[in-house]
Order: sequence, then structure tokens, then C-alpha cells
Amino acid sequence: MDIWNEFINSVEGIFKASGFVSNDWRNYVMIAISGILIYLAIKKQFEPLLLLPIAFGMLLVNLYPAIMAAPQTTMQLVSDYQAAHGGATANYAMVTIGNQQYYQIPQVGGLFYYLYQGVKLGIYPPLIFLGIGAMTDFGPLIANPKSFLLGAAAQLGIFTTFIGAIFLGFTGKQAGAIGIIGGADGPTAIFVTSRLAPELLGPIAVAAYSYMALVPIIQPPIMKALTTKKERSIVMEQLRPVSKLERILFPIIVTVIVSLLLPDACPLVGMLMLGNLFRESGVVGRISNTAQNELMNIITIFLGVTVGATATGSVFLSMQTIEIIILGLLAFSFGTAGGVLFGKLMCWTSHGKVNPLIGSAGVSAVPMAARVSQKVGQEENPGNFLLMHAMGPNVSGVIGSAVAAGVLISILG
Amino acid sequence: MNFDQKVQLSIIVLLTGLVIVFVMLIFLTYLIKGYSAIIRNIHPDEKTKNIPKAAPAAQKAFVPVPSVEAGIPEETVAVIAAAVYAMYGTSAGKVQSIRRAVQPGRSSWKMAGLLENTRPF
Repeated sequence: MDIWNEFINSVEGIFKASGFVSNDWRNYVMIAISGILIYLAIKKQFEPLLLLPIAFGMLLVNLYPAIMAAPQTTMQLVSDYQAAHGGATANYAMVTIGNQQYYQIPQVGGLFYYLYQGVKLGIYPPLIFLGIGAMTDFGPLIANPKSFLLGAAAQLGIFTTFIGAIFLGFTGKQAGAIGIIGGADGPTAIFVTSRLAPELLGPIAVAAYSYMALVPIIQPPIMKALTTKKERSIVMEQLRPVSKLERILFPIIVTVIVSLLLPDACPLVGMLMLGNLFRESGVVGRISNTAQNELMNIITIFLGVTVGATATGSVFLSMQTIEIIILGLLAFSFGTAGGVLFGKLMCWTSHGKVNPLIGSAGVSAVPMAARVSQKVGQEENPGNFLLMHAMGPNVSGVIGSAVAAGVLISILG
Repeated sequence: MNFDQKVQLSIIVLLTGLVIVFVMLIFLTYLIKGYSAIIRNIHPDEKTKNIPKAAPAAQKAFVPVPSVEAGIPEETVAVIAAAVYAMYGTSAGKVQSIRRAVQPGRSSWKMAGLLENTRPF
């Protein structure tokens, strides 16, 4: 009979510890949402490299919340410990409460807790930037430095959304983190949010990456609404070739200038430019390849799953998340509009030599935003290739959003 | 935070943010323009030096167009004839002349490369 009771108790204990009992309805809603994101990543191929690990991280944390649990310390009577370990003593710290001596036994945290430290301490985003730098050709930007202006104009969304968030009741730091979604740059958004408002990391990361995946749907209507058919048909002059020396000097000069003027942007811009110097120097091919392949892929996995794992039901399913998602959409839209309108201004001042469509690429989202400029331009003129011209504002948008991030951290941090 | 404080913070962030981002990137624009100009003056591009000047247009007018333009190897002629036959069959008749198509902008290879790079979208 005792054996039967013990068996029943054991089964009951396992059942009580299972997700069926410990999880609430919000976890199941999040599991459904993660299922939708997995579908979008695999079937629709919306930024699958990021959306898939994010969605699976979301799935895991809602099935087993302890996977993100921080390590804790439990207290156990020394006598109980020794009884359980054949009289052996341990090196744990001891405290005396009353007349009893207790061991302070540290418990191991969940797997994602440790991986998440790279996000929390701001390590992964600069490492991702290292890989991005190693993959990026800044040639179009060096050939046409005026592209920098489009990258600056497209940051309009960040600052206008900040205002919206402030008036919706978010704090200054939270509003800054929400505004950075408009930079359309995932690592930058995570970097700023981890510094300013870590409590919003889940919704902001999911919104930022979702909108980046939706760039081909969000941008074209805004681009068409703000430009005429004639402007969209403008064929731009071919860019000049850029010498190797110019390419090598570029990352060094940008790093020195940005780091001196805006030190808070140094981790992002510095690593971006280090990666680019690896690429352009031509003497560290192995390191360059590692930065743009193995390292980038490993960090992407860690970043994706742990950011997804911050989206627990209790955090994610709130009015605040809905507000963040709406503000994120506005940030993207204002950023796109800012870039296109500045492109129109450049078109006017250059007497029709600049196609305003390349302005929308200033919102980062490399290379998706540049491809959108290319696609919308080709709809008007199939022989028009704007891709290389749009890559200038596109990569300048990465530098611009990193500078904007530095400004936000400097003012609000 | 009351309404006035919200307005004040909004204006500070908007103005500071946009001004610093623009100033920084304008500064970089001029800096890059400057050093690019210096580098191009010190090391003029070798490629542009070696490009032969185009033959005068008037000279071209006097050259009779051959049925198979000079410089096209026989193998290429055979491949082109085979491709025409594969596409049109015997109805294509006989290949009588082959001339390079006029390429005002990019070559076919460049076009193919561009299309390849932009296709995935």
C-alpha cells in the first residue's frame, strides 16, 4: 500500500510540476503567436534567420518559463545535507539562524538566463555589427557621400515616435527605446533598449524585427504616395569606382570622428567599422570570413532565442505591447517618409539627378530597404537599376541609427 | 511627468537628435569628399589611364560591315546558329550575318549580374 501511495504521489508531483498546471492561458496564447511567427518565417520567409530563432525562443519560454530563470540560493540545514550525502560536508557558505546552521546552496539558472547576459550586458549587438561591417560594401556611400544626408533624414521616425510615446504615458527612457524601432535596425534597437528600458526588450525586439521583415509591404505605398511617376522614373548616373585606399581609410575616419564626438555610439559604430576594416584591408581574410559567417551565425542564434524568450505571456500580452507595436509602425512610416521627402529635396536641388526613391533606403534594414527602392523604381522603368544608388543611403542609415542611438543614450541614459 | 515637462522633453530630444545626427553625417560627408579628392589627386585611377580612346565615329562609317563581324570566333558563330535553331527550328532559315548588338548602357553580362542580384526580392 505504501508503494502504491508513493507511486501516486510521485505521479501527482510530476503532473503538478508540468506545464499543464503551472502555465496559464497567456502562455498558451503566446505559444499560438510563436506558431504564427514560425509559419511566417518558414512559409513566407519573413526574415527567417532572425524570426525563426525568436519564435522558437518564445515557444520554449512559454512552455517552460524556468528556462529564463535567474540562479537562486536555497537554504538547507547542514544536518539534512549531511544526512542526504552520507555525512559529507560541503564548501557552501553557512549561516546560523536561531541555533541551526544552514548551507546556502546556489542553484543553477535556466539555459537562456546565461545566454541572455549577452543581450543584457550589450555584448551581442556590437558583435552583430562586427559581422554586418564585414559584410557591408561602403563603396556606394564613399562614391556618393551625399547619401549620408538621406541616412540622416530617415532617422526622423525615431524622434517623432519618441514624442508619441511620451504622450502615451511612457517614461522618457521607455519612449527612447520605442523610438529607436524607427531606425529599422534590430541590433541597435536591442542595444538601446537593454540600456534604457530592459523591461520592454521583448515587445520592442519583436516589433523591430517584424517590421523589418514587413519593409516590402510598409514602404512602397508611402514611397508612391510621396513621389510622382516622373520622379520615380529618374535614372541616376553610374557611380564612380572607389579605390582601395579610400575604402581602407573610411572605417578608420568614421570610427575616430563618431567616437570622439559621440562616445555613446562608439561600441556600435566601432565594431561596425572594425568588421569593415577586416573586409577592406584584404590581409585578414580568415577573420573577415569568421566575422561574417560563423561568429555572425552563432550570435544570431543566441540573440534570436534569448530575445524571443523575453516574450513571456505576462509581459507580452498587455496594452503596452499593442501601443509599442502601433508606435513601431508609425516610426517606420515616418522614417520612410523623412527619407523620401529629403530625396525629393535632393532631386529638386540637383535638377532631377537624384531619384527620391533611394531616400526610403535610409532607414537601415540592409539590404531589404535598398531592394524595395530598386523594385519600386523598376515598376516605373524596368531598365532602371537603383540598387547600388540605394545602398549608399542604406548603409548610411546604419551609421545614422547608431548615431541616433548614441544621442538617445546620452540624453536619456 | 506633467504636460509641460512632456512637451519640453519632446522638443529637447527632437531638436538635439535631428541636429546632432545631421551635423555628424554632414561632417562625415564633407570629410569623405575631401579625402577622396586628395586620394584621387595623388593616385589617379590606373584604369581610367589605360582605357584606349574610342575610334572616331567618322572612321567607322567607311568600314563595310562584314556578314560575320571580325573578332567573333567560329565557335561562337556555331553556338549562336545552334541557339537560333534551338529557338526557332528550321523556320529560322539560314544565319546570314552576325553583328554585335548596340549596347547603349550596360553589357549583357552586366545586365545579367544586376538581374541576378535583384531577383530574390
